[in-house]
Amino acid sequence: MKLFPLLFCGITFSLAYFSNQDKELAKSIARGKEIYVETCIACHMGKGEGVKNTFPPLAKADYLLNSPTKAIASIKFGLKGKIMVNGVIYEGMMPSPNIGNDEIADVMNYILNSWGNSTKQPMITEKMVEAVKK
Amino acid sequence: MMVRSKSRLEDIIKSSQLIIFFYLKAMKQVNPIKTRFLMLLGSTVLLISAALLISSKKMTKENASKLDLTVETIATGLTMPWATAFLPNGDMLVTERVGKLRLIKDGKLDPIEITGLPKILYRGQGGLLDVVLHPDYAKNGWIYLSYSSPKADGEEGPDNGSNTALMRAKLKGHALTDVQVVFKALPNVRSSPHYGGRIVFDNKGYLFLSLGERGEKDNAQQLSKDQGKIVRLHEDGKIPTDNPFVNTPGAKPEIWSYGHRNPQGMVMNTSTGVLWEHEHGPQGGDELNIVEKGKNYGWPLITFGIDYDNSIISKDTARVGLEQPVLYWKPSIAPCGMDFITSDKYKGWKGDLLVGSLKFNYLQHLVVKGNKVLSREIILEKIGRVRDIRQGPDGYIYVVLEDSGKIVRVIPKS
Repeated sequence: MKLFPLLFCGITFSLAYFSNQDKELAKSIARGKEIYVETCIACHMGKGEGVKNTFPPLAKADYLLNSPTKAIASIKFGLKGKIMVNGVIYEGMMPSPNIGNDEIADVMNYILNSWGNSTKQPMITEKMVEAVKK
Repeated sequence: MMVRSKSRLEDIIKSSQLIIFFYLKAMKQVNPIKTRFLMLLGSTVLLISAALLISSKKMTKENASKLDLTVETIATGLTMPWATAFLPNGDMLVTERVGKLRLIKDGKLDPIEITGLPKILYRGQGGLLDVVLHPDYAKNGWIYLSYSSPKADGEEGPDNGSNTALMRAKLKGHALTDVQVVFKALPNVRSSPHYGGRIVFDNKGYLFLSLGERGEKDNAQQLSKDQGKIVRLHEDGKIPTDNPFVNTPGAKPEIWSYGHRNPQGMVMNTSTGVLWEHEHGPQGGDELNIVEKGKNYGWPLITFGIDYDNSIISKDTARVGLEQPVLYWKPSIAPCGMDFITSDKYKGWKGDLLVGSLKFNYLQHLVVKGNKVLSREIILEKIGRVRDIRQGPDGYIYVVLEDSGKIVRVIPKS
């Protein structure tokens, strides 16, 4: 019976912790949306649909969803050379917008939680972006 | 295409007038003895004119047809090059958007960077942008550079904001000296798209600088802000007293034209003295404009484009008092850099305009007559992400490619 209060405390704590993380994620997504509109939208378009054969999509894009790390690296360092996204080859170049690691995390959170993209991805943090190397 | 067929129609009318003129001239001399001969002469003239008409039509067709072109690499190893300028000694200056100014000597990228640049914000679409030499460079040595400049103390706008600035300096070895900031667009804006940044001299002692609306579209219509404007300055940054809004209360006196979105191409047509500009529109609204004193080019009150999320920016593409483009691109090609061909290196293309496409990795060749574009064609497909196009002192066209970090020269195959 002594376990019960402990369990109760644990559940309360976890709920608070996770709802706090949800709030953090929501805030990050909101900041990320601003960065997206400023930096990404001209090529990747308003709903992440891209321009077929020219600019790869971000909405339901296997390249992005299978490896968010690769996507982080493209924002951080730019991307050059051939990539395949949803069965289509893209050969363009994406210049790095040269934004901060915190901003990369924000824009990634926006992209990973928009336009039907999976919300099961863990929240991207500044530290995770910092760890991504060329 | 409409314009092109119209010009053919004009040709036909002109030729017909010529025929009628000769025929009437012949018929006027009603000498019965000579009538037969004259009828014969008339018919001959008619036949010759018709033949000429056909051949002239053929010639026009040939002129507008594709030249067989090839590209020759001039320099490699650049990081996001944006613009280039030709020094009298044969060297080239190249801006890298990351904030570096480089030299190309004897076809090789000089490993030593040029020092002395001011604080440049490399972020979003910002960085070191255009480079242009003063028309009297040989005498005065002035090099003009545009860049995104972070907010300095006392300037209008938020602390982490920036806007386009114009500086000039002289090159001594690998160092910029006598650095002067000639102009800074205000207010500073926090976000980092749409800096514009092209510099053009008109050879009458004035210079023009194109400025983007920095993502704040409504400010392109506000004469109290520099966003979305073309400004006209004296070469030292002083404001000419005959600028259109010098006497308008609340207006920035440097403004020459307004209602622009993101003008990343601007060039003087030296044969007519007319200033041409191209700008990135939203989806489907890229424009080629002729820039004139005091005029409003309409962004965002009128546009041929829609927003990136497909929402409507304006239901109008034309309104009284707002200028129409010479042409617009739908879909957008993301034009960046253009130049007129004034040399004889490209047969039949003298006076025409070449425009680069960032988005589709090609150039467009626009056949130009006066202030009109008669036709357009795609050339040099898959050349790369075009940032700048300049005719060199040798008369050949040089193209600056952002993705491959190269400068190439366009050569007609003989």
